[in-house]
Amino acid sequence: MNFPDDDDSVFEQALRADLPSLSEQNRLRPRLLAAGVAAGTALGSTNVAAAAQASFGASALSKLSALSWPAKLGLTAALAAPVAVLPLAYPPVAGADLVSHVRSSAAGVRARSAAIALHPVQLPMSEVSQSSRTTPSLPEPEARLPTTGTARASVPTSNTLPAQAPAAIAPNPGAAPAAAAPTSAAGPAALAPDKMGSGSAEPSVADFDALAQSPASEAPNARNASTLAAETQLLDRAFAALAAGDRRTAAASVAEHARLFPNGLLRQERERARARLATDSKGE
Amino acid sequence: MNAGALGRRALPRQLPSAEPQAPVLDLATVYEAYFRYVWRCLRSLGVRDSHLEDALQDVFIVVQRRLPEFDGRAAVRTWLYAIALRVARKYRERARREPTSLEAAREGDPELSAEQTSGDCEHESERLVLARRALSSLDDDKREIFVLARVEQMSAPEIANVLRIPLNTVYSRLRAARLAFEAEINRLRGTPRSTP
Repeated sequence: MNFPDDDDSVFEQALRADLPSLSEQNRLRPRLLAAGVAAGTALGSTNVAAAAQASFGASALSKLSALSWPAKLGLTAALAAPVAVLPLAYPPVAGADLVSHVRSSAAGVRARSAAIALHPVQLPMSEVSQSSRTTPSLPEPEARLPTTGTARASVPTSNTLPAQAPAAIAPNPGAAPAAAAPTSAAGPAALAPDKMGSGSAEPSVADFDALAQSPASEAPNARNASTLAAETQLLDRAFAALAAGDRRTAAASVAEHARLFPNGLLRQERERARARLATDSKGE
Repeated sequence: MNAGALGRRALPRQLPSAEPQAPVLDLATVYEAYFRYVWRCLRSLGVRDSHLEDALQDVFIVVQRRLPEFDGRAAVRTWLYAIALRVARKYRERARREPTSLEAAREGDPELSAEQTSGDCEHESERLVLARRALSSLDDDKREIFVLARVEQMSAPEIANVLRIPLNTVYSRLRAARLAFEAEINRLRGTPRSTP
């Protein structure tokens, strides 16, 4: 004891003796250790997907990964059920928009990471979907958005999961070329209902709830929303470079935005950035 | 075996003797050695039973995240209690914001349990219930210092380090906490307060 008035009361002794049983410790061990490992892996990774995952909340992810198998099964069913309905509820073109929406949004990246943790068996199917995902309605620039790379980069963060399928960990070499070079043969394949279902590992339940409640005519809105994140990223970079006096980076970002999103949601902001660039160059 | 005994004995076994080297610890090792004491600490610090597993999980997530940064200058036990203390604060705050359920009301209401536990308190379980009610009547500052000193048996300098308060404040606050605890026990038992 470390204090002068050290007389123990029976009540303090009772508090000290209040310890969990060994069985309690053993019961919680898998959950707590799995949670710690999952969180540590996510935070220890340096890729962009891991950062997105960390911002999503390491504890939330780790708690998901630490769920019991029945709970995982239930959540997987909740994810899969709306997907099973989608091919019936949406025409093929709307379905393609849905895939592009999910793939190119940051929420899609996070949801995919969570889905990997919940149900790794679905991952190979989604990889297949990536490799064959090219549609006539999908503009080529969107296929090269940064999220295409980050989605695959998120895979190593979950490779500590015991049930991870090897095929899911291995990078898919066909994904990038297929996404960058659409072919007429690949288009219809991506629009087929069974391929639609293969994207089920990516979106979150909330994504599907929102989409299921909106009429099919609102599919273009979903696509516009999908470009917003990428557009914001580009123009954020442009304005940050302008603020830092880095005109070269700013001009490159603006040009990139103009190339990728000529009629984008943030075209006015792009023009503003351009105007500032012009003003700055006159000032010099 | 009490917490202090285990903490002091386990540390040299886990840490290398050379000071400058980073301690070789992993989550499983920390879990095996300290789980029970973190569990007790969280409970004593006022984390509700219904939140206890989540709070434990939060503690070990932080441990996993911070392990690489742990330099071994503080004892593992002190470091862990510092984490547990902050997690417990978060959960206490959450419990205050949540709508009060019947279970929570019972956990937080000393009067309710006093009726159930009045008497001679001959049994350990009765003493524990009474002690927990008395603990819950302390304000947060007193409670934390009482738990760290009297339950977890940390030294005053360790407590000063964990709570980031001056050493003299540790002594004075602990004294006040003990008096308040004792008074509450006496009140719950229906006996007059003894002279300190």
